[in-house]
Amino acid sequence: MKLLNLTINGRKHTKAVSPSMTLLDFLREELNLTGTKNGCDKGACGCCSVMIDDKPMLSCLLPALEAEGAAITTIEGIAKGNALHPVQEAMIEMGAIQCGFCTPAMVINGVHMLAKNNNPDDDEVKECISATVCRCTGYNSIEKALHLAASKMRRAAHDGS
Amino acid sequence: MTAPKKDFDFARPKTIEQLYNLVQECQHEGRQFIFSAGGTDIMPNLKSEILSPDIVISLTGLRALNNIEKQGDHIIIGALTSLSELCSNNNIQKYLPALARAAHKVASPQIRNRATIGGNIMVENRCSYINQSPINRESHSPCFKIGGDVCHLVKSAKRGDDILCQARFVSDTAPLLLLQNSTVNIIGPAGSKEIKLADLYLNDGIESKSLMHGEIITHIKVEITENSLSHYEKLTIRNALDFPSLGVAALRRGNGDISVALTGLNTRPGVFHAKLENHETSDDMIVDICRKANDFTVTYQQDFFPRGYRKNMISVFIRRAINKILEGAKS
Ligand SMILES: Cc1cc2nc3c(=O)[nH]c(=O)nc-3n(C[C@H](O)[C@H](O)[C@H](O)COP(=O)(O)OP(=O)(O)OC[C@H]3O[C@@H](n4cnc5c(N)ncnc54)[C@H](O)[C@@H]3O)c2cc1C
Ligand code: SF4
Ligand code: FES
Ligand code: FES
Repeated sequence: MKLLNLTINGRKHTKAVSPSMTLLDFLREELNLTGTKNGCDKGACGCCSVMIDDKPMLSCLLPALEAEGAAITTIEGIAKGNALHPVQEAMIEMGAIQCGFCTPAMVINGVHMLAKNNNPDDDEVKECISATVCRCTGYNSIEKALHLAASKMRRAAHDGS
Repeated sequence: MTAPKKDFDFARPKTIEQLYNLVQECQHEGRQFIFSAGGTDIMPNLKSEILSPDIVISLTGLRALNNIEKQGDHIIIGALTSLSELCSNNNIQKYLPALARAAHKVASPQIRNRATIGGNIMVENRCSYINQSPINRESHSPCFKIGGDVCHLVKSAKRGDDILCQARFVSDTAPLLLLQNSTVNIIGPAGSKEIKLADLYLNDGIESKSLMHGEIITHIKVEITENSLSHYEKLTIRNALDFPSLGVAALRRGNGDISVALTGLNTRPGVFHAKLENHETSDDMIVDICRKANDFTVTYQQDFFPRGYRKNMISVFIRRAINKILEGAKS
């Protein structure tokens, strides 16, 4: 076992972990943050996406110890208390959530894209979700949700200024 | 939980000195080690028990190897530069746009945020028999690549053959880097050296790279070719997540000569040249390159696409890549 220090959703953690444990298993099994999903465990479905130092990465392809000192955001850290993020609201409004298994990853990737650019075109939206597999929706509603979230965020930015 | 079957230790040295102390320690104690950069290639291989080291030594603590710099007529790329940093870097977009295009075609956005250029040129060769889950692999005996005594792809292969394993070379960025006469800087327990990228690649799917165990790549030095045009085309089923069924990089030099490099079609990359004659790119030049490429190709049934289709696509993709640069030359 080796000691791991990292920040998850703004909270510091120090815990002893097995060196061969992945960040995904660490989040789910050790911290009970089960919002991040294990779809394939080999980099091919995107469902385990988390933000590491503000970039979406696959937690199944990372030894937990590789995240030493990093700041991680999981789906549990996206809403502010009871206030959902515009991407989450839009996913609900567009019916973009069916079984919900891919949803945390869709939201993480969507939030990251829109933080950089709140006016993405179709290609950017498609690219953003290109590597997160959804077995239910057929992707259309998710693309619409991300466009809707973008317009919500543009409106909020406009109202705020 | 689906952690790798065999537990491994993990270390992330912060300096080259720490790294080599650790390597020496491992060699002394007889502990098997592998290096990891982004880890996006080794992690699936660890989980499916293709790799089973005692310790994974991460290179990500060596922060100095994460940079891109223009030095005269070369671009120096640190081996630990992530593929997304590479794609968005100004110098790469300006001087090596086809490299940015090739890097952008690797895997997926999340993987490119982690995967490094050093790991990409070193990516392990692949075969549809070996790159499977252990459960799937239980249905046939271990092959040469994991220490067994048979090849399921080439049933007649036997120890002592020149090429024991036909696992495919699949790096998306190597073809263009080869056309740009890249060299790699290497350090190891015995000191440092610079070799041609072309000399990194060997003929066998098992011993596919010439790096000695314990050596690491620190930088890739890429030549900027004056007045050149280049392009990369990749055949896949999906736009994301697929390794190249085949990949073609093409480069037209200022003097009109054309070079093409291939990935996905043999145990190593292939590079072919055609000289400009009579000041005009003739169809003969392209036919000649396509013929050489076909001779070089070894398409066993190792891919989603049928062999015949993939073979036919070689010339189609070479023409597509060359036409793209010729269009660029006209405009
Ligand atoms: C779903 C999926 C899809 C993929 N699709 C593609 C694809 O389309 N095209 C493609 O090319 N690859 C693909 N890959 C493979 C891989 O993600 C990339 O090749 C990536 O660039 C590897 O880089 P890395 O830093 O993660 O390598 P790592 O996994 O860290 O290392 C790979 C190998 O390189 C060695 N290595 C790494 N850095 C150094 C160094 N500095 N010096 C010496 N040795 C080093 C390691 O020891 C290891 O043997 C895919 C992977 C997955 C999981
Ligand atoms: S080509 Fe190599 S990896 Fe594939 S079955 Fe034969 S020995 Fe194994
Ligand atoms: S669980 Fe990580 S990509 Fe599928
Ligand atoms: S909603 Fe079921 S996998 Fe996407």
